[in-house]
Amino acid sequence: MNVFHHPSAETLVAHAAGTLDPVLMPVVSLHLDHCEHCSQQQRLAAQMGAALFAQPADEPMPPFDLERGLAAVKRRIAHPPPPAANTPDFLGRFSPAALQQVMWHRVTPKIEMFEIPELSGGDHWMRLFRFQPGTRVPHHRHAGEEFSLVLQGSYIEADACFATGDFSEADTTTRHAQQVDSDIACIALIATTGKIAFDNLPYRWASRLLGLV
Amino acid sequence: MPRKGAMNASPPTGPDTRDDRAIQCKWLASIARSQDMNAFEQLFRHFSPMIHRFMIRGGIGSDEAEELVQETMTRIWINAARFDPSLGAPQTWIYTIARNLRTDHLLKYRRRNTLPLDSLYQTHPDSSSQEDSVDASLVVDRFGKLSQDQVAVLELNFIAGMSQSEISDHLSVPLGTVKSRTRLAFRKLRRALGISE
Ligand SMILES: [Zn+2]
Repeated sequence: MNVFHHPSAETLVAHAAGTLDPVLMPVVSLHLDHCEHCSQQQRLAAQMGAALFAQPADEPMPPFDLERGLAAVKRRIAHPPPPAANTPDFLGRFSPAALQQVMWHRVTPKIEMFEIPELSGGDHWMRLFRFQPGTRVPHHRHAGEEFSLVLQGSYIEADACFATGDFSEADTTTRHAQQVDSDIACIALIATTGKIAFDNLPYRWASRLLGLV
Repeated sequence: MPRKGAMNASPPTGPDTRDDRAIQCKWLASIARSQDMNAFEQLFRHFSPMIHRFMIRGGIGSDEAEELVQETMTRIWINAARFDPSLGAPQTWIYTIARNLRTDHLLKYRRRNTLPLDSLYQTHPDSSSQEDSVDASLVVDRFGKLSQDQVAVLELNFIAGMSQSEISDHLSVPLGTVKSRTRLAFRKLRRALGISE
């Protein structure tokens, strides 16, 4: 697949370190499914982490009783807990087939939304958006970070085209706008860690009324 | 300190070499195949002090750290068959298990409602073709090419488990500086290891 827009190196490192906000994490993971290049970079970053993990600490560490630990683990595995349910296939919810089943909620005549409840709360949101062809999202800024991934169709932002698999990251220094340019609806997964502020006042009010911010 | 033979059940003295890696792969295979307790003990003796250190350095209390070591080692026992040597070294796999458990623990502690980290990571790495062929000891050797500031940022990120904005607060430097140090460190390391961008 041709993917042109990738997470930054520092984002791949944070993903490998497990220190991205949980709401942002899956957006990167899904990009990796589309992008062998970034997968390799991320694996290298994880290796870097593993190398640091293996290095002795400079500072003194509290003692660790190896024999006691070993005995405790042996007891645990002798009576294993009932096989825990498999890890929920969270990322599978964004597969093309699963996207057909989304219960969209209409925000405007051209924009529909679905909020992922497990990861949304406070100032953090993970949402799927479906924008009809030609939809414009006017200039706005973010109070936190925003990661987005195109899952279907495409949009234009600052003369660049973002299509399926393309990733974009914005932070408090970003001001941007988008326009859907595909013939089909554009579906994007968008995770944010802070509110959105539109430049245009009526939009700001409208988006508040519509529950977007 | 001279390295001891890897078959020796000695506490780890540093990152693994290719030989260590081959032996650890055998241990995991043997656990997966025949629930080999002897192999598990070897693995435990090698990795549990590292896991313990990793928990403590992530700010986890002593009792909880021991609990998380046990949990990590139990997962290794249960999931040994899922280890895929073509995707990385045992050390990397074990690091990621410990990392996910530690992060889940910290998030629970902060009362962030979320999903287990396992489910937020890539779940079907079937497209992978390239073997992860770099020795951990080589990676560590190449850390020497980085500036102290760059190494510090990586350690805070990977070992202390701080996010980039937490690192920015901790070091009192702008977030942009933390990001650029991370980016440069990663790029230098890739070059030093002869890996293309
Ligand atoms: Zn990519």
